[in-house]
Amino acid sequence: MAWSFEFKMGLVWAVLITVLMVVALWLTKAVGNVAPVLIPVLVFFGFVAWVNRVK
Amino acid sequence: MAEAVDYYYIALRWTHFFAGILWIGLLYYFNFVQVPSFKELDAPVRQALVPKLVKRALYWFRMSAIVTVLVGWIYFFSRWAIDGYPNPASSGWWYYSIIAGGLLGTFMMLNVWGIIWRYQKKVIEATEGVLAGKPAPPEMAVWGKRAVTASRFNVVMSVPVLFFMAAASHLPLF
Repeated sequence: MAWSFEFKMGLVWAVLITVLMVVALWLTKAVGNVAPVLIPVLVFFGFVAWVNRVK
Repeated sequence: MAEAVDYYYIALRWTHFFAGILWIGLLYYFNFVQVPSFKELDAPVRQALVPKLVKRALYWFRMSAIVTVLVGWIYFFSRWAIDGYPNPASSGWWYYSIIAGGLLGTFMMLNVWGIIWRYQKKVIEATEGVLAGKPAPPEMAVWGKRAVTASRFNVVMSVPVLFFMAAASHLPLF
């Protein structure tokens, strides 16, 4: 798999959302409810908005 | 001795695994085999393969994605209900891990239906038009780029998804 634009940007967004999911899990335990999982959900919608504008 | 609920759980888990293997197998096929191979093929060969091979592969790809995610959430909510609706934030590692894997997997399924299939459908229609003698639309390269970017995202995302799914029952981290 070459380090194309598609691969680099897919990697960046996927790693970002995965890291945020781990942070959200930790926050979930800290605050006692599942609201922090909204953080990676919102960032995923950022990815969707971004990828639909790729030229 | 297995109880009735255990047969219900295993039916859901088996279906989830079967559809998941089909989905992720096709995802790896697209990214590791088809995309690099298509770059080396001449345009007429590529155009002939799109309606015959790509269209068929994408059908199984998107159907297995929706079955995997739906059955996975049915399993999760069934177990949550049968457990008596505990607060997932204070009910142990299984809930953390399965929610993390389930949400990341849901993002992947939304990519399949909302980005990859939406743009690939346009590419297939345009290719069929080219084969019928119509000119290729200028946006075709951009459609492909968007679909492949979302597909690459899904390849990377499959690594933590499989980790969280396996770790839910086999690696209690906290």
